[in-house]
Amino acid sequence: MRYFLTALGVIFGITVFLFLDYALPSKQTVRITNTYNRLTEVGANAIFFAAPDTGTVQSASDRRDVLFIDTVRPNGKVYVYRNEDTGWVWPPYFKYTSMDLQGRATDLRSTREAPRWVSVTSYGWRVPWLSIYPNAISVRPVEGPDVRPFNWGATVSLAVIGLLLALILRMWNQFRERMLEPAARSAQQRRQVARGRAGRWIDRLFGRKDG
Amino acid sequence: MLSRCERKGSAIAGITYTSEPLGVRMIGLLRLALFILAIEAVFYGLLWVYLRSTRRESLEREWDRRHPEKAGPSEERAAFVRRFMQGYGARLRRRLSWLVLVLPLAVIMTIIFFVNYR
Repeated sequence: MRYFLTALGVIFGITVFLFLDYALPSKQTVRITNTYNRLTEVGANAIFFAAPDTGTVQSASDRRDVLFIDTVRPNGKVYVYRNEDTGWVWPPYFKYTSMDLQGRATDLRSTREAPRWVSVTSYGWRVPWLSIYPNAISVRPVEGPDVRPFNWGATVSLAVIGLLLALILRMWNQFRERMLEPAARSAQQRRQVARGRAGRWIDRLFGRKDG
Repeated sequence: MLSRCERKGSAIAGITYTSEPLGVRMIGLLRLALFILAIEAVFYGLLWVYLRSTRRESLEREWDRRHPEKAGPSEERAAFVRRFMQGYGARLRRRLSWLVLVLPLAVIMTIIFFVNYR
C-alpha cells in the first residue's frame, strides 16, 4: 500500500512539474532568421495549439493558418516558435497582439554574417515529432548571444504559487486544530465513558492502550 | 464570419485573418469573468472562515492573559469573544471584498500590459 501511495505521489509530482514547465514563461537568446505564416495541420496535437476561436482562419477541418518565427540559437541549432493569440482562459497570458509581435520580429531579422541577437520570452515545448512549437510572447533586442535576462515571469509566478500553497496549508492546520482535534478528543472521551471499566479491561486484554 | 469562398481565397493567398465577430470575443471574456469570480468566491469563503478562526483564537488567548485565574473555556470568555467578533466581522467583510475583487483584476491588467504592450 505504501509503495502504491509513493508511486502515486511521484507521478503527481512529475505531472505538476511538466505542467509548470509547459505553462511558465522561459527566455532564450536567439537570432531571428525568418517570419512567415503557413497553413498547418492541427490534428491530435491540438491541445498544444491555441483554441480554434482565437482568431486564425480554419479552412478545412483541422488546417489552420499559423504564424511562425524561425530562430537560430547561439550554438547553431534551429528553434522554431509559433506566434498565436492565447485564449481568454488558459494559459493566462491574455495575448492578443500576435500580429504586432510578428511585425516586430520581422523588423529584428538578421543574417549569420550580421547577427542581431534578441531575447524571446515564450511558453510551451518544441517537440518536432509532435509538430508542436512554443508560443512566443515577446521579443526584445539584447547586446550579444551571451546576454541572458533574468526570467522574472516564472520566478514571480512560482513565488505566488508558493505563497498560495503556504496559505492553504495554514488554513488546513487551523481547521484541524480548532475543529477536528477537539471533536476527535470529545468523541474519544465519550467512547471511554460509554465502555466503562469492563471496556477498559477488554482493551487491556487485547493490547489496545488508548480508549 | 468569412464565407467559404473567402476563407479558401485567403488561405490560398496566405493572408492571415485575425479579427472575428465581437460576439465570440465577448463570450470568451464572459467565461473568463465567471471563472475568476468562481475562484474568488471560494477564496473569499475560505479566508472568511480562516481569519475569523484565528481572530477567535487570539481573543481567547487575550482573555486568558487578562484573567489567568479564570482561564479556559467558560461562559464569560465566550461572551467576551462574541462581543468583539461582531465588530471584526464587519471590518473583515469590507477588507476581504476589496482584496478579492481588486487583486485579480490588478494582476490581469499587469499581465496584459507586460505581454501585449512592452
